[in-house]
Amino acid sequence: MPVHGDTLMNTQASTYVEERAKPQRVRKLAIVGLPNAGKTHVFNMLSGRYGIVANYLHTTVEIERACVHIGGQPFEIIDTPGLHSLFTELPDVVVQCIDANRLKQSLALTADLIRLRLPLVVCLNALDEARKNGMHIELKEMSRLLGVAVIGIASIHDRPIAALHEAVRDARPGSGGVTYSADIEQAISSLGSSITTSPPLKRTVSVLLLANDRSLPASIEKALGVDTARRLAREADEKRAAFKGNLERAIEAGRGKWIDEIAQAVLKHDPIVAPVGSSQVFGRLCRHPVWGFPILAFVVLLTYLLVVHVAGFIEGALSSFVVDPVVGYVTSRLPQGFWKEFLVGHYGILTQGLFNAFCTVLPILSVFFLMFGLLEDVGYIPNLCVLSKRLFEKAGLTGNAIMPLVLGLGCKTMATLTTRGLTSRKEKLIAVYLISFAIPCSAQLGIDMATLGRVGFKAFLIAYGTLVVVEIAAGVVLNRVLPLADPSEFIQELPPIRMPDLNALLKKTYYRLYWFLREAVPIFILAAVLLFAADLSGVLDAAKRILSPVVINWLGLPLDAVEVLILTFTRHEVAAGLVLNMVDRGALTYVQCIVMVVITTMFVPCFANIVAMCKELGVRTGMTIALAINISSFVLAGILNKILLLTIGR
Amino acid sequence: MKEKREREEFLETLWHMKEHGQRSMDELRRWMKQAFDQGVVDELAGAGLVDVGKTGSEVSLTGQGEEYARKLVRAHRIAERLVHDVLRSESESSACEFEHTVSPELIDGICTLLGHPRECPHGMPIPEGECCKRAATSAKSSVVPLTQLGIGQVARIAYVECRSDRQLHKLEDLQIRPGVELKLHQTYPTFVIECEGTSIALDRDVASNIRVWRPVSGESAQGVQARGRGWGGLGFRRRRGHR
Repeated sequence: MPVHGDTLMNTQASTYVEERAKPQRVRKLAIVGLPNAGKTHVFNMLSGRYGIVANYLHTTVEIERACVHIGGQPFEIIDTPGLHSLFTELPDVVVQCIDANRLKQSLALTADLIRLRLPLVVCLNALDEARKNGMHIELKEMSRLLGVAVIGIASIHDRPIAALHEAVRDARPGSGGVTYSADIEQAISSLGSSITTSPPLKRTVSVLLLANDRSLPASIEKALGVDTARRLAREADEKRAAFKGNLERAIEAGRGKWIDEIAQAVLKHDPIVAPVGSSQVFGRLCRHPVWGFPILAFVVLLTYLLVVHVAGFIEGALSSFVVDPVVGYVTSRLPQGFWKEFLVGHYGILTQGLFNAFCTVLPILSVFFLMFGLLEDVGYIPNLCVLSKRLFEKAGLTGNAIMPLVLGLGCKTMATLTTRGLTSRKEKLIAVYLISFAIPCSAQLGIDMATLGRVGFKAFLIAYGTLVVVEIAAGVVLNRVLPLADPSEFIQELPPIRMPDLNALLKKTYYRLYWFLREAVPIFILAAVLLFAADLSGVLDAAKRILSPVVINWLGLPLDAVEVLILTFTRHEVAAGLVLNMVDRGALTYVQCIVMVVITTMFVPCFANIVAMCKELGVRTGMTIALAINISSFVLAGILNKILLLTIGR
Repeated sequence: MKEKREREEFLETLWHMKEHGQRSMDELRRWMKQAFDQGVVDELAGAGLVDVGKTGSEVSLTGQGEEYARKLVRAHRIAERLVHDVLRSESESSACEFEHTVSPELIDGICTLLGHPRECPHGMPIPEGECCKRAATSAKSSVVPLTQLGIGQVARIAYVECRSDRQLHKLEDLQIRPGVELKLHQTYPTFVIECEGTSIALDRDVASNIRVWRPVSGESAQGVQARGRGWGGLGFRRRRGHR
């Protein structure tokens, strides 16, 4: 039985108390479903807000919230991430999102929700795609069998908001649900008889206990008290032992039968199967042990060319039409002195702050996010876990740890949070370490591509080749050093390859850029101001003097690199933006440029990432990892510097 | 003299108790419920199959009794595999009768047909038979591990063997369970299968736990060729076997 049992549990216990106490309160609506089932699309529809939608598993990790009025009643909507174990809130209404292509896979959760007797609405997403795959679902029949409203959503363009609102307003608990064979039913009811809660909760607790759901004990203790929980667990153990055969598997089989019955009644397959679509062929080629690699190389090269040339062209235009005239005007109008330095000087708020953010970094990120979003919507990135599996295996990562690492390319903080699905502590440690070590997050990758593009494609290959080698080496070392653990099994669902939708893609890119502007641009400007102040007050010089042996002699970088390293604490893309600025000023040589990109990618996980690490592994381990990463990044970047100097010279 | 069947039920229960590390007469009474009969125990002890200890409060199988019980349990659990997963029947009763009537040779035959399963549908180990030891050289099984399929082949799952319930739940959640059809797309760097409309990547260990009905021979010849190259075959061929 999956993990959602534990969380639904607590929620239900308190719902019963609160409902009587405060009839006029804000009702809570939870959106649940398998990963990549379109939960965020439904969240956006209900809330009128925008959360990133991608053809991707675990797009949402942190819980989003919104308050809206549905049918005159206030609702707080919670968009839970794909991992249903995060579901720790008490809902009054549950909207379950089902990817129509994976109807059977989703019905297990439906069965649990029906058993809990929570008011339920089912959203069937991606009906068009399912139809193309030869699957037809009879919504009316499904609604009748489950006893709840079933809303069909054809595709991402389809926004049946009115129907959805109506269904939520009239939501009622489902009917039917799984029934088991007589001997199991008897075990369930006799275990339940000693629990003093509402009947649906009683049944849920009994079933989950008998099914030996490992995540359950803690939440039962919370809901029913420690003594009761212990007693129940003991009773369940006895019942399991006394059962002829394996009770856990028998319960699983009972649910499987229910799913088959529902699917048989509502799901009709086309008699003639549609020919394999070009998208499926592309998906297979992406994962193919031979063709997969040229495709990967092509994708990387295309991204590189777009970022370097297309974004470079926009930058150039902005530079000659906006930056140069303004800087020229300011320079000519202001006398030498404080204000000139403050605005257009070395750490000028305009040159290094505003213009750097808007005229250099923004065009690069626009192009990069467009390309990255395209890859996301197509569903390309998760397929990389097939290609890279052997590589990661060498780095000590088996099974489920591979996907978080691949997701690290998007956002390292989010990827770190997805490691909570890993059961082995060793794997979790390695995964968290590797995610924050040598994998660039998407924004940084985009800017660094442009930086390296300024000095040549070879530099790009050297820098990222180094990072790949370092990453694997780190994994191998960690795997050796950390105590042994059982390798976990690798069972990974892959999203289907989809034709991307231009509107959705543009919208997503727009929001990513908007968030970048809102969150990173103030830091760009603040950084410029702080550096300016530090420079003026002499603090910066003092810091530089202390660090100069390391920076100059070991890393071979100019002293200004100290500023960059300080900035990596805040946001990696801001630091990357500064590096780009340095390259444009001609402050870095070929080798320095490579070393700079490598060290800023490895050095100091950004603040949000450190927080996520501490959350997943505890403060002490999190901080230890951050420290270990910093030290190894200094050591490795220095070695790289020496090697490059020996091989290519300056 | 009690019925042969009744005595055999006692022996099976004692085997079960051995698996749970139990050996007291009270436990036996609890397992057998109303069917408990001291007379049968005495009879088995007299035949040298059961050892009741000095005080009579303990009960366990003798070496000879263990050998007997082993055959019974093996027959019962193989029958369960056959009835439960392969024939998709729910009735436990037909499997219950099996071990009392069927010869060890026939059981070995069924075991071979099913690809020498290692555990019953409830996750209990199936005692090894002679046929399992000779598995490599003996007759072709009709049920084979997923790893033996060729790329592009479609096969129906006969049963899934998993040592951990967690893994079984996970596969079950992805609808990888008996009776479902799957198609093998790729075997390197990992196995990729398609099942109920979803592509799933698996490692070799998991793939070898999934046992499927061997597809008809024409296809498997092609499959073997494709396998010979280690990868190969893009799966461009027409999908077949769907409803």
